[in-house]
Amino acid sequence: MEKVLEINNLKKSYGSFEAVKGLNFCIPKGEIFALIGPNGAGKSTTLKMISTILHPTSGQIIIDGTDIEKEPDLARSKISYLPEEVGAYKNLSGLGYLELMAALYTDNPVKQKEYVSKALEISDLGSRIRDKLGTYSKGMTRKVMLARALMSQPKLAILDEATSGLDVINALEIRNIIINYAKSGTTVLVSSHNMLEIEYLSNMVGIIDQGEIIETGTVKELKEKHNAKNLEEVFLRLKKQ
Amino acid sequence: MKKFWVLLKKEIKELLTPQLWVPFLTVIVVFFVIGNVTSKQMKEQESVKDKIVIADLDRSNLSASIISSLEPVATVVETDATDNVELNIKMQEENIQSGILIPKGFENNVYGGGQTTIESYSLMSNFSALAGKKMIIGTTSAALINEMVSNTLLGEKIGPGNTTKLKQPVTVKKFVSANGIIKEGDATQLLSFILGQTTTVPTVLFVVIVMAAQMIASAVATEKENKTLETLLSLPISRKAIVASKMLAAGFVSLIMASLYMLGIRNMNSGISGMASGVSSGENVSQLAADLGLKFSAFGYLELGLILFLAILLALSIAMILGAFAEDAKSAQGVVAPLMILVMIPYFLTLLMDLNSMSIGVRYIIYSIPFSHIFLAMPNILTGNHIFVLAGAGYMLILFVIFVLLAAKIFSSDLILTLKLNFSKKK
Repeated sequence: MEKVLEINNLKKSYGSFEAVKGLNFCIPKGEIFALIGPNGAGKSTTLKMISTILHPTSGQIIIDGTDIEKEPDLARSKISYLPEEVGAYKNLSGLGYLELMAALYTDNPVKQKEYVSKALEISDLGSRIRDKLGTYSKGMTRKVMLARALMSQPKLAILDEATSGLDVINALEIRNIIINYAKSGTTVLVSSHNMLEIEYLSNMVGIIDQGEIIETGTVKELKEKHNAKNLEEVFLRLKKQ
Repeated sequence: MKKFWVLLKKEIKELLTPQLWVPFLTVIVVFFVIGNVTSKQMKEQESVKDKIVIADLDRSNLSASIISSLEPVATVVETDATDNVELNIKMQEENIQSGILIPKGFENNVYGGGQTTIESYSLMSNFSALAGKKMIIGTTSAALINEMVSNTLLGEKIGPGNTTKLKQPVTVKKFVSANGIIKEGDATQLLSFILGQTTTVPTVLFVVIVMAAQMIASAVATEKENKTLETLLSLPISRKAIVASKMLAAGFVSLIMASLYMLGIRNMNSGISGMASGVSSGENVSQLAADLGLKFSAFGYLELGLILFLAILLALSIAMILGAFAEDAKSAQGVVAPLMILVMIPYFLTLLMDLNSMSIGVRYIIYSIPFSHIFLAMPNILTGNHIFVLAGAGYMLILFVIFVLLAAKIFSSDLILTLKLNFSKKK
């Protein structure tokens, strides 16, 4: 099976503190892979390394055959990253922001139009897309940011706590957008501390705790293996071991 | 009311953060140090008598007596110069700003009742406030000579019959020399005219550099604060392009600001100088400056433009790095303090002091501050010291390349997200 992301013995230290301690996992093409774990487990650090924002202390990250440390610019052209806490240029309208981002993704004007059109479809904000981002609610802003992350149809979409801080309706909408988008063939790596929502979102899961992956598998496999009703129970049982 | 005091305390605490008061105190300390250095140098200068070169072509008893009477106010350096050109060469060799030429037949003219004229020369090689003080010694000496001769005539009850001539037996013809050219004119007026020109550009540049530095540091800090930086760093754009675009944008905006400031200050200055000296006097001084080669040539403007451009770029590259230390726009104002100090020290020192009169150690410290070369450029361009100006430009260019590479390195590494200044105590 074709692997879009391959991670080998990935480590990250800040001084003497080891935030990520030798992660190994891979994601096949078209999958939604969820990295789940409590706050401070090392999820965001891992995602930032995959997004080329942080450099690994050691280990290897290969995205669609590209080693990101050797060819970071090429790797960036294959990914898109939605940080957990993402801000917007508040003086721009939603449409202006999407057009700016499309122009940064590609020089081709035809592709830029395609990207913006795709983003407008994903964000689905109607006429409000012409309003300034500073006037948007948190849910609206998150939709625009998600649309930005998915507009270029990257090989790998990296979404850190995609529904963080959103109400039930907005969270559900965002989850549906991601599920529908993955069906088009894009591989998605999501992270969340909300283990219950991940069951609705992804098939493959990696449970991370204190910088180490303590279990991987499909949601069904993990629940069966640990005789648990949900992923939270799986996590608690793993912690007790 | 109690709630009001609680709120007031909270507001003061939020305003008086270490990010605000640490740079503020640093600037105060710098002002204090500059004040002390300047006052020390001034006292040293005051304790040493200013020098004056005298060419006595008359070689008479009266001229000898006059020269010896100048000793209490100035250290007289006599020369065997036979004309004003040789006198000015001697002044240049000895780095003395004032000179007096007593013409042949001086004594005979005084006692014979004819028109007696001495020539006072001012050498324009430096345009600081201290240089002005050194040039005054020529005027003081000329006045003293006049008083001496007047007293002699009154004491000996000889000389011209009318009292005006007795009170003013010697007239002084003032000359200024610069760039090897000697022209009749008033050195004090010329100095103030040149100071008007040479201080305007650096003053504007000082303001622009500070504003541009704060602008770019805020731009970096705001990206961090608004959480837009991580998205930007994950886009398929090279980090060098991010650094370059931020710098060029801030450079472009600050150049527009500089032009507008320059225009405003120029209008204000021309209005003020027009009021103070009258238009015709201003035109005469301007013509004198042109005759002495103390006006900018096309090459001079090119050199000045190069220095200004490099200074802004250098300031931006340093501010970009400092901005990486700021966590938010508020702290960005504080992190640029070291840059402001680097601009402030040479600005004030070159404005007030004559660098040539400083010790060689202090001089080289000032030369090593890159922004000194902005303020040293104009007087050196005017006096034709192009090698010094271009060497300064080269020095700034080298530093700019180093800082840009450093900025690109920071943006390509984790440092852009992890660098921060922590003034608070570790708990």
